[in-house]
Amino acid sequence: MRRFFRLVKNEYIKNLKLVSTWVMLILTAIAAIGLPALARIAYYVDVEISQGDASDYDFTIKQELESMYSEDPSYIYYSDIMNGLINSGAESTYDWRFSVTEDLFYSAWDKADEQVYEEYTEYITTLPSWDEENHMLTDPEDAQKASEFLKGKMGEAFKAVWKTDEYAKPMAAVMSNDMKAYYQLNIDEANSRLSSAVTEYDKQIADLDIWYYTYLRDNDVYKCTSEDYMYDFLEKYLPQYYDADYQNATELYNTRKTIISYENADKSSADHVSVGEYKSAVNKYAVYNYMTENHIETNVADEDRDTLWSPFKMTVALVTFIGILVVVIAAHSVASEFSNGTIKFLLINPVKRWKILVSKYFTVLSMGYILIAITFVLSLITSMILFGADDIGAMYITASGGEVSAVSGILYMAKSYLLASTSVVVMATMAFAISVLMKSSAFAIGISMFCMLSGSGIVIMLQEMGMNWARYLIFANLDLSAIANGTSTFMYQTVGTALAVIAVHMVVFWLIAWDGFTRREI
Amino acid sequence: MENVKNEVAVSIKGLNKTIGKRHILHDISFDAYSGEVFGFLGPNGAGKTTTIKMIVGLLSIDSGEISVCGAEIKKDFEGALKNIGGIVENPEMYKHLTGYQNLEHYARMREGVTKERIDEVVALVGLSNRINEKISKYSLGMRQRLGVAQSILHRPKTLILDEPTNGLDPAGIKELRDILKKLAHEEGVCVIVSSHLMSEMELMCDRVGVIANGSMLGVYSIDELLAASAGATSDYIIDTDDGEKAVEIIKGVTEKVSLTEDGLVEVILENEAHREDIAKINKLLIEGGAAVYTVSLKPKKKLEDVFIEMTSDTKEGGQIA
Repeated sequence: MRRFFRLVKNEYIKNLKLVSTWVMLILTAIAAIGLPALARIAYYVDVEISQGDASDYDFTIKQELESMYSEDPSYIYYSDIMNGLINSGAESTYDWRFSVTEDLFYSAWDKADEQVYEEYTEYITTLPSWDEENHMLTDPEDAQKASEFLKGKMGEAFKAVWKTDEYAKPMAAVMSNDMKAYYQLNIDEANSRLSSAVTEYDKQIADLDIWYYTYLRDNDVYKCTSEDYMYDFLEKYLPQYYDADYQNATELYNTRKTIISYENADKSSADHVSVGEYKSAVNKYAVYNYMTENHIETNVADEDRDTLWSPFKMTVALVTFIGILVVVIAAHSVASEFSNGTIKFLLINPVKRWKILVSKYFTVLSMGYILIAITFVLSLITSMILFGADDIGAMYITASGGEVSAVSGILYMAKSYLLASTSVVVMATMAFAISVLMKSSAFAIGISMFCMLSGSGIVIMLQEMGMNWARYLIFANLDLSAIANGTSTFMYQTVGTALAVIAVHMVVFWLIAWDGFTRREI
Repeated sequence: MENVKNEVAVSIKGLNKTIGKRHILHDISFDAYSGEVFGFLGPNGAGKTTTIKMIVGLLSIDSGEISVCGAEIKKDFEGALKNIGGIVENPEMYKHLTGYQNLEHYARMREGVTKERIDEVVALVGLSNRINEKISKYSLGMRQRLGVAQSILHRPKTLILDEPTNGLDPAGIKELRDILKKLAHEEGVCVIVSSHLMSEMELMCDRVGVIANGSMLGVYSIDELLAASAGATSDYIIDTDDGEKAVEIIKGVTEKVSLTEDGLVEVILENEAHREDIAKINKLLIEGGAAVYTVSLKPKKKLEDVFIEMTSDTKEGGQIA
């Protein structure tokens, strides 16, 4: 072993004394630092714009009222209620009281509308200018009359509805800024629904509602706005109106609802949840269930969040770049000994040829993994410096078939890097074999690079031409993470088969290199 | 060192090699001993380098046996190579490394080479001042010196050098000659040197194995070769005013007389009494009325000529086999 590492040391010295190796190392380091830095710059520009936008989005209730169409029949009631809310201390439209009040108002208005509708339609037909054929009033005076009639009726109906317990009770909670009481009302309501529920569906939905509001109540969760696309914005600029637990619990609530619909609904109906939606809901549910139970705010698997993870995840692509460098090192390692004539100097020693070959191969691969490790560490450190290290302990949470798997983000990234390195190893071995066979580094670099850069393209082309055998080509089996996620070019590829295909190719490459090197006449 | 002198260091028996369709070596056999400088002599393309490459394991052995210090190369490659140091063809080193780094590279593939030993060998070949320069800045002669340093670094029992004087200046050749002789005669190393120059062999070697067209013509000591070149007759060239008349007169003494194109008379006399005979011929010519301008002994054949005679193949008209 000691003798073997002396051979490896020789190979390392030969490689490290080459200027080109250092150029490659520096390029790798620049890429590892540069990619997160670029992301930071892009993010910075993005933030600059968002901060400008922030003031545009941060409406007060007062501004909201001013921007509304005041001729609308509902406006006077709406503004009345909202002014009451402002007087009770609510300011921002992101305050929970605003969104609850708004929801309650429109719900009540719709109810009133329903009640008045029949009376109104009857009334307009009695007017003289009613045109039965076109369903309209031809006389503007009549139209004015009808509008007045509706306004009066709606006002009465709305006031009546608004006074009922269904609206008065939650409004009381809102006016006293008592979120818990509000949640409690929802729990009570769901409980009463549960006791009177007939279908299994209604029962389950009632149960879900009870769980949801109980969770919110018991965990002091702030009720966020109902517009979930605003969550990122709120988290960043108005954190007092944002609570990650609310987001997670709500996602959980919605996915659970989808699942209940699928499981109880008539499967032939048109608005039925599809199998695909159902499956994705099951996995999403599992993830949010895990996050809710453990009060986890950041999921590394979540693409949308601006943490250090999104720039760090991009750097996995650098492994392919390292692959190119490793191919060059591999091709050069053997071929240059032949082209410079140093092969005689190397082999005129009491060391069996296969040992020299193995030491070269070991050197190439270990250099590859050292480059990958350097990239990993540099990217991570750069991302941490530029994007903050708060989320460094975050987990990567995914689910498949309803089973949750949660690994630390660092581990997940290490795994991603390793999976991506499969193609590096295979391509380096191929370059190695070609360089032994052809004694030409140009040839080895050319062929390997061509395979690396166009291999997947060729596979996609063959797949589109319907040539199913192409699934057994090495290039179709290198992207292990895509195969594991089921997003590979060919359907139904498995990691097991991919590994077998890779193993067969590796053995062939190795036999070529071994035979070529140990039996070559120098 | 007399006791090691008779030990067989390299033993080659019935070596054959075919590359492609060409049968390059035919039944090569010879032994080289510890403590001698063995010259491996042959014209270009005779098979010298092929044989050497087989001894150091760069080429495979079709049939036959090569043993180095008792270890057979086919069976115990590492055991055999342990006792060999050598340069094959040109001394190619890693150009982007310094001379010293190249020697370190080599030392790591061998056992028991210390830093002191490296310095010692570098001093021996006279490269101490330039050893930390990159090989790309070396001249051929310097690389040849470094090659020698590399080949003796691990104190091998057998040293095999393929045309080591290539690129060396006359002073360098003399230094190398002295180093090799010293290694063989004082340290008991078996030194095998290949060359196509007999004159070089003559100054350096104890014995010479001659190879031509892939066959071994024989192994001779330098003394034997010198005797062979001396021959049994002496040639005299006589310049006279009338060549034809002179030939007539000389025929009375010996039949081995002829007229050259230049009108000179060439006489071949037995070595035993050539001095008396030429005096007699001279006397007869003068008495016969011929004017004798000069009588000269034709120079003896050189070792080089012997070598060319031995190895020239009239069948193939001197083409490289």
